[in-house]
Amino acid sequence: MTTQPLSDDDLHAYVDGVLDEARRIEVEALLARDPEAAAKVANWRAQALALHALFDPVLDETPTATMRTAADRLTVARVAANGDRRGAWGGGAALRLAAAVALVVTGSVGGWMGATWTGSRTAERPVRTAAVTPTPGPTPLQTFAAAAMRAHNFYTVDNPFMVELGADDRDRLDGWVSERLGKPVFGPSLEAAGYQLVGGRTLPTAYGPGGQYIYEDDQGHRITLFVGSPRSQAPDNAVTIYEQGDVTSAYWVEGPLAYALIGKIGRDRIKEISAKVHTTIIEEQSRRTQQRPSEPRDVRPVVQPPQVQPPSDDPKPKDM
Amino acid sequence: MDDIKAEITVHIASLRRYARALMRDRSDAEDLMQDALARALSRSHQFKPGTNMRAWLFTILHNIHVNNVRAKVVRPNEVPVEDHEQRLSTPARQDGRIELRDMSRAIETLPAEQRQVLLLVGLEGMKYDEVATVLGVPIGTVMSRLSRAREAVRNRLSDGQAESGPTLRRIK
Repeated sequence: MTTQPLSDDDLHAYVDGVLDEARRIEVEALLARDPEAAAKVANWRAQALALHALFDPVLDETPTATMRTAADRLTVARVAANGDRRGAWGGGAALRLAAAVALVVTGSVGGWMGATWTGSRTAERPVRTAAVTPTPGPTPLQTFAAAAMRAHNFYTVDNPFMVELGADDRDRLDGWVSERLGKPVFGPSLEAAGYQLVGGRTLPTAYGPGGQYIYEDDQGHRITLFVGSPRSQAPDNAVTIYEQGDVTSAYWVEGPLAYALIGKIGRDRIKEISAKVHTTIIEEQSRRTQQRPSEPRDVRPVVQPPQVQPPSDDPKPKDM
Repeated sequence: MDDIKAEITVHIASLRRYARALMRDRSDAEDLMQDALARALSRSHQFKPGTNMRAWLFTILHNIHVNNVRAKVVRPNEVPVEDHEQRLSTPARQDGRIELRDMSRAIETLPAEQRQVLLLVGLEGMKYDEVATVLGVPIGTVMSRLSRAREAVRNRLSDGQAESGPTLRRIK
């Protein structure tokens, strides 16, 4: 196979998630051998993150009267222009609304993120209404689950893509993922289920960054836990099983985060481990709210470890 | 229809975010956004089926911005950094005050054309062809401005790093 050398356009397209999957794989392989290009990519990504950190708070400011009026009147204008072909509202209205919001949050979708929803799905306990309501497109949760599946397949088939951050420094790993998602996230211990945390990475998805934690059993079989936070999310604690070939995924929503646990294992086993993930998260959250910040070993702080705190002569507290 | 409204509400909020990042001065940014919305409303009857509403709104804002800059021959980046940092010191996250400040300064030094592209791509997540539409330039121009902007910011950040320690290492 001949591989095109890396161009700057490749690197931008890679950072912006608009490469097709074949080229993306090539670019990742080339980046692994080209520290200079990898440094560029890392820095450009960090720039985008910093821009979001600087300016995303504007999104939460109260809309002005003009903004509200504009939303109303432009809605009317657009409906008049396009016609509302969506048909009658069913029980899935809230989910479709969420989908509309989630899909416009970021415009660029590409590479492994351009996942299409092809899996069969089975409603598990409790029965989700969305499963029986025909919807014009995937819900954010389905999009999330499909993205998680693609990320799993992409990063566990081969090993050239090593984890971006190892599990040796879990605080740093969790802190990094938390920062990308803007919410406290941690990789739960699955030792009781026979899996060791190997490490993790963050990835772009259609609705913002997602975190992927990678676990391995003693035979080297990998499962991944994908965490994301769709911007608009219908509360939905039901666990849904999604199968694609011999890969099984269980996904659900927990507070502001959505989780997908994926592996080449049967649905009973994936359900069993996902239950473990669920309880670990709940326990960890309650422990954290009780004890922080006095127990650095057990409690995984969202903050970065001290050695990477930026030097500052300003004693102002950094807490929100 | 509610879903359309939700989508448009998000477009408008992101228009505000872009204006804020572009102008830096809060009240200038709000004025720009309000002007853009007023013009959008006055032209909403021209809205064609299948139009990309987001690109349409951003194009209107961009054109107003360009005209304002021409008319006033303003010095667009004259907001004292310290004013801006007052707001930045309420960080959304617990980290990176230095790093956000560096980033803030770095984009401030960019020529407006490069800053626009950097923000539309990096902050607003627009595809390159959408950016080309909004700015009314060929896509090749978008790519070259993006490249120059990203490298200029990178160089500037690494200059800052030499002075103040490894501020960026933490993010990645």
